[in-house]
Amino acid sequence: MNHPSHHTNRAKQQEGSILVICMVMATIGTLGVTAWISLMDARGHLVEANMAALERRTVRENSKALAYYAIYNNHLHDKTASGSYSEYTIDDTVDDLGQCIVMPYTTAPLTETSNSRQAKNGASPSRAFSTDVEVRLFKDVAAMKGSEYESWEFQLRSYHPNLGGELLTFYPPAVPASGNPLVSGSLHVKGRAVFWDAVKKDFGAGLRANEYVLPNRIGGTTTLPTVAGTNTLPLNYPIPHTTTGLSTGGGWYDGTMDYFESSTNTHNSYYDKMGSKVVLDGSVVSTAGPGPATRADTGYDAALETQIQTEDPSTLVNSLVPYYPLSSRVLTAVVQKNNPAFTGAQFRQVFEQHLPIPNDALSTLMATHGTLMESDMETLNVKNNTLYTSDGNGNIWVYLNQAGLPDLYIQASNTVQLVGQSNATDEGSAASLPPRSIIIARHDGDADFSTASFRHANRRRIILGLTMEGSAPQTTPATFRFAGSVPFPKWSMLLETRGIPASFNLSPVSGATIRGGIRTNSELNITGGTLTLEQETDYSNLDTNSTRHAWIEAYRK
Amino acid sequence: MKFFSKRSYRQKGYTLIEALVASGVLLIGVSAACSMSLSLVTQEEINERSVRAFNYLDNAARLYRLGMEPSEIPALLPNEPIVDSITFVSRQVSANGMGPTGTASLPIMRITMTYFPSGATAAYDKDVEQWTGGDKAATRSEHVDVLRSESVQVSEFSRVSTLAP
Repeated sequence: MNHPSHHTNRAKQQEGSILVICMVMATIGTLGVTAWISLMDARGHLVEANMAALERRTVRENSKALAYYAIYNNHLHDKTASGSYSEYTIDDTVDDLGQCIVMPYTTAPLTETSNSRQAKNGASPSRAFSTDVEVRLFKDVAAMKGSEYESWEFQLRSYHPNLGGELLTFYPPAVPASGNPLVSGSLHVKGRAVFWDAVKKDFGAGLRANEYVLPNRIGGTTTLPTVAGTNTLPLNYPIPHTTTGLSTGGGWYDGTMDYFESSTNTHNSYYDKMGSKVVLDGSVVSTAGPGPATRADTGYDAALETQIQTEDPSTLVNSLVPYYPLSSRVLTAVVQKNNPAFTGAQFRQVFEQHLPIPNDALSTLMATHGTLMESDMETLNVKNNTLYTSDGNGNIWVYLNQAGLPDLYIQASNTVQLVGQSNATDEGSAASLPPRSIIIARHDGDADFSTASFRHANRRRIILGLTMEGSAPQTTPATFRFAGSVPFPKWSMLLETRGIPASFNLSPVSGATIRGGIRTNSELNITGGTLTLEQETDYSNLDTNSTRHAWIEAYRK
Repeated sequence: MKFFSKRSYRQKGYTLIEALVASGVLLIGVSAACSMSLSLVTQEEINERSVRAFNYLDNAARLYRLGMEPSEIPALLPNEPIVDSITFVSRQVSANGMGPTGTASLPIMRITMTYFPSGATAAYDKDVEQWTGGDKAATRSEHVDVLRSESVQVSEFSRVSTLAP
C-alpha cells in the first residue's frame, strides 16, 4: 500500500527537477547572452578608443614636429644657450593640436666642445658634438592643460663634415647656372662624396668615391664609379636640415658658407674661433721669427756699407766674416747690393751665420729676393725657424713645421706659399703639433689672391680656407699648386673654398693626397694627376677649431 | 484499478492551448535571440570595419609625416573597399613662442576620411566582407590635423631643378 504513495512523490520530484533544469538553462543562457552583449559593448568602446588613441598619437607627433620647428627657428643656429624653458603651442581656435616645452640647456649647439656622440648608423657623420636638450611633448589633448608628457632627448649635433667621413662636401653651388662641371679632372674620394644639389652630369668622368649622396631628385644616369672602378648607386640617405650658423634674418639652412668672418655668425666663424690669430696683410712687409726685431748699428757700419758697395759678393762673403754679427743696417745693405747682386747661395752663406736673423733684415731680404730665389730663401727660413713672412707685394710664406705658428687671417695677398716638411722625420714631428687655421680672404676684381703653393708634404694638421670677400661669387679660379721635393705628397688639411672656383695643379708632383677633405660651394678642377681625399683620424683640437654644421637627432628618453 | 487509474491521470499530456502558449513563448524567445544576434553581429561588423578605417587614416597620416605629397598617399596605401574617400586640406595655424616675433605660421594638414561602416544590404562579397543586414550607404567621417616637420632637405635648390635629365 505504500508503493502508490511512493511513486506519486517521485513523479512530483521529477517534475520539479525539470523545472529547475529549465531555469538553470535559462539562467545560463541569460548569462551567456549578457556576456556576449557586454563583450560587444566592450569591443565597441575599444574601437572608438582606437580613434581617440589615433587623435592622441597625432597630437604627440604634432608636438614633436612643433619641437623640430621650434629648434630650427630659435635654437639650433643660435649663438646663445637657453637659460630657461621655452614653451611652444599650436594656436588653433578649434582644437588643441600640439604643445612642447624645450627645457633649459647650457651650451649653444655650434659651440659645444665637451660632449660628443658616436653614430653607427652609417647615415650621419661618425662622430659629432652634441648639446642634449630635454623636450617635453604633450600627447593627450586633455592632458595638455595638465602635466602628462613624454620626455624626449633632442641631440643638437654639430661637426665638421670632412672629419665625420664626408670627405667631399659640396654645398649648393654659389653660381648654380654657370654650366661648368662641378668637379672635373681626376678626384678620388676614399670616403663619402656628398652633393647637396647636383646630378651625375655635373661631374666629369674623373670623379670617383666609395659612396655618394645625391639627395636631389634623380636626373639622368645614376650609376657612379667607386675608387676601385666599379659602378655603384648613390645612397638614398636624406640630408637632414643642417645649419651653418646665424644670419641677420635667422639661421642658415641652405648650405651658405658664411662662416669665415661674419659679424652675425661669430660663434661659428673661423675668424672668431682662431685663438692667437694674426691678421696678415699682403701689402705690408712683415716677418715673424725667433730673431730680434732689429740688431743695433755698430761703429763700423758706414765703412762696411762702403765695402759692400765696392767689393764683389764672392769676396764679401769672406771679408765680412770678421765683423759678424752684422747689424740690421749692414745686412740690409747686403740685400740691396745690385752691382752685382748676391746669389741665393751667397745670401744663405751670409745670413745663415746670423741665425736667428733680425726680422727687419729678413723682411727686406724676402721683399727683395723672396720670389726670385725661392728655393734658397725657403731653406734659409726653415733654418731660421721663421713662422711667416710677407714681402709687401702680396707674396706670403708660411712655415708649417713651426710650433709657434699662430692662426693666420690673410688679406690682400697674391700668392701664399705653405711650406711643409721635406723628410719623414720632420713629418713625424709636425704630426704632433697643434693644428692651425689659415684663412685667405680674396677681394673681387682686384689683382688679388691667385695661387697657393703646397711645398713638399705636410703632416701638420691645418685648416685652409679661401673665401670671397663680400657677397658676390667670383668666377676667376684660384690655383692650388702642389710642388717641392716630395713626389705624390700627402697633406693633412681641411680645405674649404667659398665662392671661388679652385684649380688644382698637380703637374710638379704627378699626384697628391689631401688627408682631411674638401668642403666647398664652387667648382673644382684637377689637372696634372690624381687628387685623392682620405680621412683624417686625428681629430683632437682640429674638430674644436673648425667651423661646423649642425643638425637634430631625437630619441625617446 | 485504482492504481492504474491514478497512473493514467499522471500520463496525461499538455493540452493544445498549453502547447500553443509554450510554442508562442518559445517563438518570441527565439525571435528575440535572432534579432539580438543580428544586431550584435552587425555591431561587430561595424566595429571591424571602423578599425580598418581608422588604421587607414592612421597610415595616411604617417605617410604624410614621412614627407609624401597628398596626391601620392592614396596610391601608396593598399586598396581599402570600405573607404569612400580621403581628402587633404592644408591651412595655416599660428605657433606661439616661435621666431623673432614670438609667433610663426605653420602649415597643418587636415586629413578627412569617409568610410562605410556597414555593407549590410549588399550581396555577399569576399572583398567587402558583408555579414548582415543594414544600410550600406550610411557613411561616417573622421579627421586628424597633422603637422609635419621638414626634417630633411628638400629638392628646392635652384641648380638641379633647372637641369634637364
